[in-house]
Amino acid sequence: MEERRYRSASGAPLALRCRQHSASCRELAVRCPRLQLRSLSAVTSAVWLAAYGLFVLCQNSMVLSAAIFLTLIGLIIYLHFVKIDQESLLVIGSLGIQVTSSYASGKESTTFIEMSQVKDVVINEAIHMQKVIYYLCILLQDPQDPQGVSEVVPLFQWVFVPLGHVSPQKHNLACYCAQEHFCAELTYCSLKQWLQGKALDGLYTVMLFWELKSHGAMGTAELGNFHLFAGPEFPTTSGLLDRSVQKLS
Amino acid sequence: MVLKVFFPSCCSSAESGILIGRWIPEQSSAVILAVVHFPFIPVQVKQYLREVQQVTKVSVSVLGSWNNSKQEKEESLSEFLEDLGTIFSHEPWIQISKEGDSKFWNCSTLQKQPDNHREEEIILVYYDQRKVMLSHLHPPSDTADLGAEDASKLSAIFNTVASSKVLFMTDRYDDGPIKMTHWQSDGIEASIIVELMKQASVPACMLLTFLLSLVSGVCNSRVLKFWPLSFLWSKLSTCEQLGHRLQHLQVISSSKKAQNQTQLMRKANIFVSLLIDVALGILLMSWLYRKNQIGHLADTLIPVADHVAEELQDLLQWLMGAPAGLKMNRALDQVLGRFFLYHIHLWISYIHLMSPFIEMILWYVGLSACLGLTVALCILSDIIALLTFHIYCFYVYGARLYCLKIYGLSSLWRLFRGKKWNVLRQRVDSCSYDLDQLFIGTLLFTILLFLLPTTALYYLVFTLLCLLVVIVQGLIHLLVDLIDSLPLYSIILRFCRSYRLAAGVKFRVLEQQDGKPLRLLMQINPLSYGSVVQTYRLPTYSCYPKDSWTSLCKKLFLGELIYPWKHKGEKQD
Repeated sequence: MEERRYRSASGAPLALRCRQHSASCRELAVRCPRLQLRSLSAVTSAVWLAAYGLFVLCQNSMVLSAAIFLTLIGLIIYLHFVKIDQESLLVIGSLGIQVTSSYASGKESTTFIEMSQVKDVVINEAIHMQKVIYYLCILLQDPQDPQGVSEVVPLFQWVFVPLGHVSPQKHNLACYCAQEHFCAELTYCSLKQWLQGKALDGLYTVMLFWELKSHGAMGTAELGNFHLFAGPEFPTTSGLLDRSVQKLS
Repeated sequence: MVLKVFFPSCCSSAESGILIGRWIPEQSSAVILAVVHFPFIPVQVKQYLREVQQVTKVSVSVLGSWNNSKQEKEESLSEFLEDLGTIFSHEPWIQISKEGDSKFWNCSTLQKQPDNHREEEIILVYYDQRKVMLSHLHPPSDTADLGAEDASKLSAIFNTVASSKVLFMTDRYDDGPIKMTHWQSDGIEASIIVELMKQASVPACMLLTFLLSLVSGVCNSRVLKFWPLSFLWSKLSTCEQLGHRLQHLQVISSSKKAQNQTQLMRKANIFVSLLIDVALGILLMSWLYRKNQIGHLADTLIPVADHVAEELQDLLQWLMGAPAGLKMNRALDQVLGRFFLYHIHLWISYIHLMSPFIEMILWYVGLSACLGLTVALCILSDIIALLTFHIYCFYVYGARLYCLKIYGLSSLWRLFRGKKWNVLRQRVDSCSYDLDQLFIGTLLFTILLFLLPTTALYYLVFTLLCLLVVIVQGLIHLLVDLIDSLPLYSIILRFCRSYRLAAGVKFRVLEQQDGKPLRLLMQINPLSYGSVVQTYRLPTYSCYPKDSWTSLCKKLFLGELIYPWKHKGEKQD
């Protein structure tokens, strides 16, 4: 069992833990920083001060009880639906990949993807405001079309970058992601360029990818020649045209 | 490939014996269904398995041996079990052995062909047989894919366990030649209530079918199909709702058994929905008929109608003056205002004529709330529609007038510019008019143009009023739709027995020991509430407004009549 420390795309400290249960089973868990008492008390005092100010203005004591109620409900909703404690990936060779997110209130949401549904595991890059971030995702097989991809499942979505499930049925991937406040361009890249790049974000994603690819997820141990896909429905920007764009074959 | 053995957790403490189940060669996985104990005669076992295979269409066979030794390892037993591999020839022969109370089992395979002697890794997956048997995977896959290569593994496993129901019908108290351990071996699970209900449902269904055929015969009789009546029935939403419920009752009372899971859930959802509906309706009725609520309601109805009429009259007086500072065309204003005022006067007289009978009518109509809360809400919506019928009439008059005006204006505007609408080519063509045509056309255009503000104002006011009524009716219909389409049985099932509705599975890694096979626990991942509602929603008869906001605005601008709540099956205007 090894543990490594990294920084996420937004600068928060993360801990990655790798555990090998057997020759074909591996678990990768990323732990987020816990809820800070500082931020919690800051938000609570701000809300209560505002409520007290309102009470002084309108002399209605319902405002105070409403503020307490709201704070409690808001905290419960935040802990149960928003704050992620840990995201883990369990890879069982020839069975499938299981993605679990556990929330701060103890709720766990699990998805199991069978190996026959997985087409490939790739690293995509996305442009978020002023920087480029890399994220790991699983491409799911389209049952009707053996060459096609039915869905792109980003891994560790809550920990690295908030993303929704990206589905290629939308006409223009760039437009869809623009709704999520950033634009994802899918281009072709080689691992060498990324390994040479000093971006820490890219490095840890690459390490995760290496673990998945070479230790039982796909059964292949080759590192090179992983490719990202682009097609007529996924336009690339002119600035990135110097890298070749290749359709996933 | 990694060999996966799916072992039922109920057989963990079974005595030594042989394992029977299904071997899926494409996925290299063995689904173990039961353990057959000693003593047994191999020929009888093979015959029994052949019978089971015939009934269930699942290729059940002997897969290996199970050795549960309470004390130290018994060498003779393990050799005996290996020899069994030659009697029941199965490739590969799986041997699982457990020592004492140890959690970590030994699992090995015997391969006949020595060429693929590569040390295969074995994964032991424990599963809860009862839950896997009773659960249904969503999205459901066809049973025809039972042997297909690209079928999902999980559905193959679930299908295997679910189809082997007949295998689990023998328990340890039966005096058969074969003694097995599976999830029902301690006694078959059954419920007296369920059995009683199954017995009682057959005559009940027959009675219900008979009654329903009578009712539908009466409804479809020619007497009720004459033109004024049929028009009335189609306009009243109560009749639609009653027809819908009748359809539901027919679905429930049909004597055909449900073919598959979807149909069964649908029937159950309709049944629970009807039950809840009738219960709420009876609750409403008990509240209405207590303390003479109907009388109070009837007493307030007439003053409310009067009040509404008075408000309308004030509104019209305001429009006839100088509404919002706008200057109207006096003559047209007076004509329209007087016309609508007379209409209101007629309406009030009609209401006053009906007032002695209102209480009695309401009393009898309230009785129909026992048919369900949805029926009561539909009646309420219909009463609102009838009481505000004059507003609807005003809206229609205003709209038609305005529409005529707009069409006239657009056509004369074309004349003004020297163009004409070509009906044959469906486009605007240039046209040379005579001088007298141009003169009269221009005159008419000017008249219509200057009378436009008055008509437009009346149209606007009555459209807003009508839309208000439509919104109130729409809200009531939304509530009725909600009660109609909510799959309550599925939601309660998801809450109480979440393993029945499975979205997938989840694996948990159990304690490991070096040298022993990987141990995983397979649990059912239940469907989320949102997907439950989406999958099992009951279809309703009403459809939501098809027009987008832009087309609605366009229709309003042109003065076309709008029917926002169209029902399925009605001809579009």
